[in-house]
Order: sequence, then structure tokens, then C-alpha cells
Amino acid sequence: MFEKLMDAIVNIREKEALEITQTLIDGNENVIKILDNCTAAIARVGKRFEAGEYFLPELLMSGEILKKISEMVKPKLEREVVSKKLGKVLIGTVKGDIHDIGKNIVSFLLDIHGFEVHDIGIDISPGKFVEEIKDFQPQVVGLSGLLTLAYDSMKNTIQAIEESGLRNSVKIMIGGGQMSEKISNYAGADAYGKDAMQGVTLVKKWIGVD
Amino acid sequence: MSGTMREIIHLSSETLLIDWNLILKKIGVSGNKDHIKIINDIFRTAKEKFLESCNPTGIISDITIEEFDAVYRGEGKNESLTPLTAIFRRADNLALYIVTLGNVLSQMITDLIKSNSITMAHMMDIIASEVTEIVADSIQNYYIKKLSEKDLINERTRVLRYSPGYCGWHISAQKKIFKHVRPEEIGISLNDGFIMDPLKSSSGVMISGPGEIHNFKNNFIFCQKCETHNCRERIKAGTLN
Ligand code: B12
Ligand code: SF4
Repeated sequence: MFEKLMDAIVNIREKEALEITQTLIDGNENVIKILDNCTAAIARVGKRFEAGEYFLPELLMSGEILKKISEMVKPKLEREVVSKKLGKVLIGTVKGDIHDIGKNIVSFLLDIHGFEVHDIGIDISPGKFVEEIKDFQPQVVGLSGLLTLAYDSMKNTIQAIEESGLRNSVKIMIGGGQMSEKISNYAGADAYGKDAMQGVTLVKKWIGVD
Repeated sequence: MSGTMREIIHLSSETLLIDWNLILKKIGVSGNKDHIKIINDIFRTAKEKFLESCNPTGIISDITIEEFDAVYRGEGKNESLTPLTAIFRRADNLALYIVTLGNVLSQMITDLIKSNSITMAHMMDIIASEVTEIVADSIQNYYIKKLSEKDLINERTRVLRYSPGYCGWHISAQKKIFKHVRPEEIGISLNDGFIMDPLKSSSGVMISGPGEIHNFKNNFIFCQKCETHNCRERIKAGTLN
């Protein structure tokens, strides 16, 4: 049954995946086990995406299936289990930049991989990042930007985080169209993620998940 | 023309020449037959929602070379040498433009993201970005028609448009474009970070003049960082009259 569920998710057969989930729930199957299998399915989809077999819509659609399954199993999960996420990630598009398609995808994928994501939107000033970090206390901060002027915004943001004394409490990753390893060094980030899946891999590595 | 014409143009989304297959390709479709069907279904709905909610509108406002010189310089943040510096001074006519797809559409995309319909939101976003350019194309064609009615173009004339944020022209120049065009009337505003609201908007200048003024070598310092080099395509494909 679990193999079938994974197969349905990996091959984007939503109706079938939801039906299997319902049968598993009705049969009193352990919901954590259901979610674990779903997460493993999403990881398979991610591998296909990285191998160039799948494109972005498939990655997103499988993620949507997982979201729906999470909603279905939620009532059965104990409250503390629901809120027990793997770790916290704060993400936003830096000051002066409004491109957010990529950032939304990163947020979504991190969420379905089990992280608590606080997406603070677009055109976010360094000061606002600092404020939000203080409030949310993430382990990882993701800066997104597609414009070349975002290079300096990223640098300024990381500088502001340093000046506020929060730099040692967070890992910082950057990403977005024009970004690169070089810009990551220039801005003083810990790493550059070339796509959303790599963002997930970085967060997993830093937080110590698998 | 001497800085006198300012016109608001309302377009209908049905009349825009949208290449839906090209947009679908940009969204990305894998070779899996079953997936193609699902993606096509979502795309069809995204397309319907898009056509219902988009309200393509634009403003053109002509401007003299002297006036444009100040608009171009903007907040003084441009690269010292850019393609435009040489082009606009040799122009016959110039007009500033701002186009938008309206805020209903932008809100719809935001709502879709919030409700986790991320695939649909992603498709609508890509459609909207592509169509923003198509609306700018239509406004450009309208401008060409106007110039031609006034006998201001000949067989050597070529009209191309340029936007702040590209090719060394700093995005902050949008401030002066807004001051000149006053697009608040059609519901477009600019924030302190030079970001337009609604997001699906675009601004710039349309330059009309002898074809050769638009030719330039892409060897500016900032071209080294350019990923697209799409000026080459634009020069080739530019509107010829
Ligand atoms: C769509 C788009 C727009 C849309 C934005 C819609 C939106 N809601 O985001 C609209 C039309 C509004 C727009 C506006 C503008 N744009 Co624009 N836009 C694009 C375009 C065509 C695609 C970008 C995109 O969404 N790609 C798809 C996503 C999925 O890719 P991605 O963002 O790179 O994200 C992936 C990875 O990078 C990564 N990732 C992203 N963020 C993060 C973060 C972290 C932490 C990690 C780990 C990973 C990660 O994961 C994602 C998925 O794998 C690009 C051209 C291009 N081909 O890139 C130009 C482009 C980015 N735009 C450009 C410009 C100049 C502008 C404008 C200034 C134009 C103007 N004058 O109006 C304005 C910007 C206003 C502003 N202040 O920001 C230029 C930037 C040039 C430069 N060197 O600075 C580009 C490159 C076009 C060009 N050829 O010149 N744009
Ligand atoms: S190479 Fe890129 S930056 Fe340089 S002029 Fe062409 S489009 Fe602009």
C-alpha cells in the first residue's frame, strides 16, 4: 500500500494518492508513517527534477499532493506532533527586488520537506530582516534576488545581521537567477543554492536532517 | 514631436497576440504523456483565469530629447556609458511609456499562492510576465501608428524600446519617468525601492529614429555579467517600418 502511495505521488496521480491516503487513515494506519512515505516520494521527485526528467510543474504538483495529504492526516495527529517541525527557515526577497516566483518555490519545497518556513515577502529591507530574525528565531535565513542590484542588498542585509549580533545564530543561503558562488562570498553568505532543491539540501545539511 | 501628446490606451486581453504554446514551453513540460495532459488542463484554467482578470492598460507620453536627457539621468546612478547614451540623442522622436495588467490579476496570483495552488500561481505568473511584454509591444505598435499618421516615419525608421533596470540604465530612473507620465491615473504607483504596484507593470522609453542608431556593440563592462545578451535578438527583431 505504501509503495502504491509513493508511486501515485511520484507519478502525479493525485486522485489515486488521496484515495490511498483515505484508505490508510480509515484503516488506522500510523499517520507519521504515511507522512514519512510521502516525504520519501517527494525526495524521489526532487531527484528526477535534478536529473532533468521532471520539470518545475511536476515538482510543484507533487508538492501540492503532499500538502493535501498533510491536511487529511492533520486531525489525526497529536497537536504537538503537528507543530513539531524539523527546523525554522526565514526567507525573503531582498530590498529593491520583487522577483518572487523562485522564492515561493523554495518556501513551498522547504515546507513540504518538513521545515517551518516564514516567508516575509518581497523588497525586504535589511532592518526588516533583522527584526523578523529576532522575532522568529530561525536556524537558517534564505535571501532571494534576481537583479544585479540585489548583490549589494544581500551584502547590506548580511552586514545588518552581523551588526545586530545575530550572525552566529543563523546560517545564510542566497539564491535567484543572477546569483552565484562568487556573489555568496561577496555578500558574506554561508552558501549559494542554484535551485530550490539545493536550498532544501543545504537546510537539511545545516539542521542535521538525514 | 514636442512633449505634448499623452494618451491612455485601454486594450482588450482578447486582442493581444499571445503565443500560448511558447508560454507553455517556458513553463516547462516534460516528455511524460500523462503529465502533459495534467499540465495542459491546469494551463487551460490558468489561461481562462488570466484572461478574465487581466486589464491591460498603458500610457504613452511623448518627450523631447532635452527632457529625456533629465529623465534618463534619473537619480544619477546609471553606468557612465550605456547603449542609450548614444542612441537617444540621435532619435527623431521619443515617448515614455508605462503599461500594466492591473491589480485584480496581481491579487489573484497572491491569493493562489496563499491557498497553496502553487502550480496554478506559477503558471499565471509566467503568463503575466510574458503578457506584460506583449502589452508593451501593442503600445509600441500604437505609437508607430500615431507617428505614421503624422508622417513622422519613413522607410529607414525603426522604433525600439528600452527600460530602466536593463543595460546600465539604473532602475531608479523610473522615478522621473513616473513624474513625467503620471500613471497614478491608471492605478500604477512606484514605491521608495522603485518597485511598481501592480507588479505586472513595465516602464521605459520608445525611441524612433534611423535604424542604425539602435545598433551597438555589447561590450560594455556590465555586459560581462549579462546572462541573456538578448539585445542581439532585440536589435534583429525590432519593429521595422
Ligand atoms: C518573471 C520576471 C519578471 C516578473 C517578476 C514576477 C515575479 N512575481 O517574480 C516581472 C515582469 C514583474 C519582472 C519585473 C522586472 N524585471 Co524581471 N524577469 C523575470 C524573468 C523573465 C524570469 C524570472 C523567474 O521568475 N524565473 C523563474 C524562477 C523559478 O527562477 P529563479 O527565480 O531563478 O528561482 C530558482 C532558483 O534561482 C532558486 N532560488 C530563487 N531564490 C532562491 C533563494 C534561495 C535562498 C535559494 C537557495 C534558491 C533560490 O530556486 C528557484 C527554483 O529552482 C527574468 C529573466 C530570466 N530568465 O531569469 C527577468 C529578469 C530577472 N528581470 C529583470 C529586470 C531588469 C526586471 C525589471 C527591473 C524591469 C523593469 N524595468 O520593469 C523589473 C524589476 C522590478 C524590481 N525592482 O524587481 C532582469 C534582471 C537583470 C539584471 N541583471 O539585474 C532579468 C534577468 C531579465 C533580463 N534579461 O534582463 N520580471
Ligand atoms: S549584453 Fe546584456 S547587458 Fe549588454 S547590452 Fe546586451 S542585453 Fe544589455
